[in-house]
Amino acid sequence: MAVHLRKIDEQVLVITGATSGIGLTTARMAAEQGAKLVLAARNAEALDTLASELRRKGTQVCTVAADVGVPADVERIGHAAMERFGRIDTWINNAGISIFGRNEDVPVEDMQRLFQTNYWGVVHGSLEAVKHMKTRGGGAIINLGSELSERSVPLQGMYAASKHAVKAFSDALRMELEKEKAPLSVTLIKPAAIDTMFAVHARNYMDKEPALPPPIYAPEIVANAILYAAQHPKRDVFVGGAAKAISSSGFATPRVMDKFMNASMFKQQKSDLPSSPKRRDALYESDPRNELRQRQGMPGHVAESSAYTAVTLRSHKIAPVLLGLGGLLAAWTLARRPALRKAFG
Amino acid sequence: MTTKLKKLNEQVIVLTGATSGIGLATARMAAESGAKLVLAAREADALDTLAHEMRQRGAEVATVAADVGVPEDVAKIGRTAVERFGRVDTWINNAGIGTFGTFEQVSLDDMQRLMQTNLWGVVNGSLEAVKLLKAHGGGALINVGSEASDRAVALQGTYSASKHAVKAFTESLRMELEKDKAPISVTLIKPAAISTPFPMHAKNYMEHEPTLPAPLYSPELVARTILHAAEVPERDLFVGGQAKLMSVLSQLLPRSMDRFMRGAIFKQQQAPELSAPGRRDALHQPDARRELRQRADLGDKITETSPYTSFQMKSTATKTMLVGGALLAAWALTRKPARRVWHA
Repeated sequence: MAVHLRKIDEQVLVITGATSGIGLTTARMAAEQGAKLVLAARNAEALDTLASELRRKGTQVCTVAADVGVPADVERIGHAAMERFGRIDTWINNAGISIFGRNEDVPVEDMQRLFQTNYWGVVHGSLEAVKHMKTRGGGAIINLGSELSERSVPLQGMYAASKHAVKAFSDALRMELEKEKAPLSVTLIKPAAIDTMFAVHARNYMDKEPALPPPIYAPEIVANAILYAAQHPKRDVFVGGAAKAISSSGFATPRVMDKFMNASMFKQQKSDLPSSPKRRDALYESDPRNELRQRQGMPGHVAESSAYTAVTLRSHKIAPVLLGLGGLLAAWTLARRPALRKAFG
Repeated sequence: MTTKLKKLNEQVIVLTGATSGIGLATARMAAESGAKLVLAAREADALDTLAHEMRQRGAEVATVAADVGVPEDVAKIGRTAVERFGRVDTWINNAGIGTFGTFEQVSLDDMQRLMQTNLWGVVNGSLEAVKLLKAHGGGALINVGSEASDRAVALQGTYSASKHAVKAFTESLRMELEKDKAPISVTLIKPAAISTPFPMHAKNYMEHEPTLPAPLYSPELVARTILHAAEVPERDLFVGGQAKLMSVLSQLLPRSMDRFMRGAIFKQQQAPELSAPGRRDALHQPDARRELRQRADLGDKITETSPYTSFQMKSTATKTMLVGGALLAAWALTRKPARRVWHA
């Protein structure tokens, strides 16, 4: 891709779902690196608190209370960004929500609500981004997919379906923009299980509180990958080696993966705690008691780094070196073969 | 999967989108095999004509005018099946529709409508099917995906997203049913480009009439594959070797596929004819003038057979022998011939 992207400290970034988890972590990291921010979420108070915090540190921030599932709300985000800063360099479609439960136990209305946020929210955001960015120097559109963009899982069927759909949307949009030679990079971020408020905010139809299966990674790793993709055009990025592993083995041996998941994912997506009848979630409305937290503090080990992601982000430098070494190794091996030695004297 | 499925002539089969293309081909083939049928589509007249044709050949058919995107309509399909035949053995979610155009061109309303049919229609149908299959001794749930379940196609972005979502939903449902040890086989069918009225029924935003890139396979090939899955539990089946090829290449070489599609797919999905103003489509309402056609009949070359598709449907023992035999042959042919020392 011949798209030129600015350094973060010269950028205006739009981030949806900015008051929690990956979005919050990314907003803080981007602010620290000098970016100007347009932060969107449903909860205006949480946005104001976050904006004050960031402004105290010298960041220029504009906030928009918006539900990404509503096209008019997303138009307001684009409008606010253009009014305040005159341009958008990177648009990050991050807002997302889940439901835990068997497909037969989840009402279709709840599934549709999830899809409205996770898929249509990304469509609205991406198209708003294209509208403002295509003819004004371009930039990056970064969509949050998931390892579940490539392989489904029991008990989160519609979440996986929405993330599969986000992948297809991003892939098709990318081809259409490249055909027009638009100066836009479209990146799909595919995180493995991340320690955010994901399980707390999810609606739950299981008898136990939701949990995520190990290995679990820190949200900072995802934020890092997002900000890297904001400055260097990338097609897609797995965050966490486990995400890549699920994708590859899911493709190569789907029946094995079916059996593996049946043996593990029913247990590992349930915590030991029973699900409380008074439990609140953030499917239809934001949950103000659980805002502005980057992490839940999931039990068990949380990996603070991912060697796989670190290598793949910088692979454009490493890959040619590895290929070159591989080529030399192949040449040397062939040269040692007796038949060839005889032939070439 | 050790689910036992009945022979077609002992089955009650529910089929959506029965009045056109793949659905129509499948309905006719199933009727010929002696299955009892519950056929659903939006257009009541077309259903009546089709049912009449089949009854004249001795088939037992019930019809339900229904929009799969409406849960109450799907419940009506289920009720009709139980009231008329007492049970369901196979439920085939086939109804689907397309749009042609870039994301920037297609209206949000049309995108939503497509998703309502292609994804929510499958969700509604699958959940109704599971309820009925569980209550009546099990059977087969067959969802029609697409090669676009594995790889997005430019100009058909929302269609691709809907088929990706169908794949994921089907996959999670399959695992949950297996955990329950429910006697239900869940199959995802992934056809390549098929010669049906699909491009004519699709809503078009392009300058030219939509068409599909070659190779085009026959709807009868898909029908045979679907009905195989109604008798033999299968996880997923591609229809057309091209579909499998695209899936593998997309997984291994995504950037190359992007470039290939950019070079080919924009031209190949536009026919020479310009798109007529006031062009009708079947996105929001059925197109009554274009019902009851299995093939597109555009004079394209249609591939009637697919060795890869047939291969998938062979038994595990046969597949093992074929692949094993091929590997053995490859090994034998690449061995260095033994050096003979000739003594004069």
